[in-house]
Amino acid sequence: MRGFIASVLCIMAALAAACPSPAAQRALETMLPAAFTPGWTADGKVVTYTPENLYKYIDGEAELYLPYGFRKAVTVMYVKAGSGDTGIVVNIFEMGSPLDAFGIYANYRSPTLKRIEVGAEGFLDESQLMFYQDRYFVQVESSGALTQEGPVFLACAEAVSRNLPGNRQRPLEVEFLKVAATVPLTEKYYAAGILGYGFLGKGLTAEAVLEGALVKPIVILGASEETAKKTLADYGKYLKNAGAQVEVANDKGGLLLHAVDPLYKGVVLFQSGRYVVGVVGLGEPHEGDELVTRLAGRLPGAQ
Amino acid sequence: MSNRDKDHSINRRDFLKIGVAGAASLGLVGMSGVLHADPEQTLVYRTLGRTGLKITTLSFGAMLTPEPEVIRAGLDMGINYVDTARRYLNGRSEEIVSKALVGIRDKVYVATKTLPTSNTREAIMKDVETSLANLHTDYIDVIQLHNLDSPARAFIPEVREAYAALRKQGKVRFLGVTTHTNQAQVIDAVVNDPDKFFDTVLVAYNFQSEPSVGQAIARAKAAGIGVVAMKIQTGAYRREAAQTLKPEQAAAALKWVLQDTNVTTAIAGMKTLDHIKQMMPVMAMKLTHADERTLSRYGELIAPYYCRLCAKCESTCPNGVAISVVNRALMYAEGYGEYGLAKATFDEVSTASLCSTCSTCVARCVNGLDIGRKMERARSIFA
Repeated sequence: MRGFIASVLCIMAALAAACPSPAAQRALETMLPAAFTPGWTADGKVVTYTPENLYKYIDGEAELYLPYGFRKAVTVMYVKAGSGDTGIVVNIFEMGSPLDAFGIYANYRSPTLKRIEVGAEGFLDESQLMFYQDRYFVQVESSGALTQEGPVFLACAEAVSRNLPGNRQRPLEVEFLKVAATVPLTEKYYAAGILGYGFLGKGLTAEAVLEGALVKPIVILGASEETAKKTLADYGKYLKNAGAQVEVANDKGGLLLHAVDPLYKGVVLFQSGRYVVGVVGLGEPHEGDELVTRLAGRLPGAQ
Repeated sequence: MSNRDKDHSINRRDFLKIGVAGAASLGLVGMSGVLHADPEQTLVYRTLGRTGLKITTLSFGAMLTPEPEVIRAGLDMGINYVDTARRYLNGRSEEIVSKALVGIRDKVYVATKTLPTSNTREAIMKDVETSLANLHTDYIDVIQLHNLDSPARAFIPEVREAYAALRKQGKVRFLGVTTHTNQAQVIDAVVNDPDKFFDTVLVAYNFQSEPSVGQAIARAKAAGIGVVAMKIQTGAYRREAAQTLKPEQAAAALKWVLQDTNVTTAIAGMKTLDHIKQMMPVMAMKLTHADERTLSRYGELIAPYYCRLCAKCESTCPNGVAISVVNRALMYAEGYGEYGLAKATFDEVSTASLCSTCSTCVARCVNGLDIGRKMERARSIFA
């Protein structure tokens, strides 16, 4: 029964994340506040970028955004009387989904940076602040030499956050990797080519500590149980063709793979429904069995 | 989970060789000429101008590669020049590169860039110190002024003082600039600089580049400046192109750049092992007539999609239709499959309904797009 309720809650959360709220349908430009405390106001020139010209703003880094369903970006500078040439630049990027927004955000964060309570998650460093909320990724940066950037950045970010749609939850999929061994703030989402293998598709990774060694738990997000099985089979076939020995067995209703990947050392992967969970970077593939069991227990519908 | 004790390890370099065939069997690599190539036999080197560095003609663009293992695979296959930037991924890219360099730093040349906004001695010094820390190294082989859109920044005395000081301190070995805009002007300024201050230029260069860029590159080579090419596949940011880019097209595009021997190396952004294995053997290949035909067809393929959104056509439309916006809506619908966004964009065009009032479209595109046909297509999709 608990599993059923959990499944229903997960489906509802996923649907909520996938469907844009009325606020999300507002023009992106209107999500930029006219001003924020104390005394900072937009200079009035909102610049908009779309997929075909984003590179004009952020150069080749635009390529990073497109797989995450980038739709539109707006940017504006805030100035304050007496601040001279200095200002605060705010960039809002509208991505394909909350998971996509998390994905692009996670490319920039580091576990060592100061975490802030804005949006679903954010961080602050000496010259910028970033956070994501719903399907939006926000950057707040200084232009020129500011003093006490931190409080100013924070006030600005909070003002933007209030204008954005209200879903401040982390995407459901990110929670799949939340086990005790996982190093906080190391989760990443890849919209394609997880682990650098194109055929593995999209999924999440993190860092975890296992027996004192750093390993990498992963979750591959398949479209269906069939595609998840095919993904696992393709990976096994790929390794076999490359000369590695691979064990694949049925285990607890799913497929279980153990192998040594020359790029990622010991690997254990377990297909469960439309997901494949696993651990890479192991000294020996079976060292990851227990962690994989725990990860599988985090999936929707797990008992 | 049952316990099975196996040792399945194989040699990493062997894996990288064999893996090409493995990828082929899964249909992951489409170039028949590539499948059985030995990376060690495909390495081709050129000299990076007056720096004297001998680098592989294929370099690793690390900007978008999230996994250090993938970069390391490329380096293990022989690529010996990796390009990143202080700005990429807020410094995370340099950290990823540092993980790929563990144990082999002395075998790889590392290029990075100061922030585009850093134009003071203090800012540049800080950038380089941060890059050194991120890269876990004592020196940077090539430090570059990032993204010049004119020569001006390259001649700021304070910038030069900072770069010269860093070189004197041994923190950087060689100096360069990067440019995407007004490239010929920037390159010529570096070439004609009486102080011969910069050693390298990193430029966008591909089979669709203006001839003036190729000519400037030739002058750079003659002046002893190392030329590094980027955006070699016309800029994968053009999503519609990226979606249709086949392995043979990518290979032909790389060959086209490398057949110009004024180019020392071409940077390819490679995010997966498959990409690396597709591109590595191309170093040893010649541009053929078949490749030229492939590129010609590829150019034609992306041309109908590639409205440059210059809006010059709009002045030729008697009804003042915002043709570029309609074209953008079409691009969303047909190129990206984003119908909702496309419809919303189309609906922004208040003059769209006027388009159908003409029996024949008289609007003209300076780049040869068939505007009448595209407008008709838009009406059929969005009506």
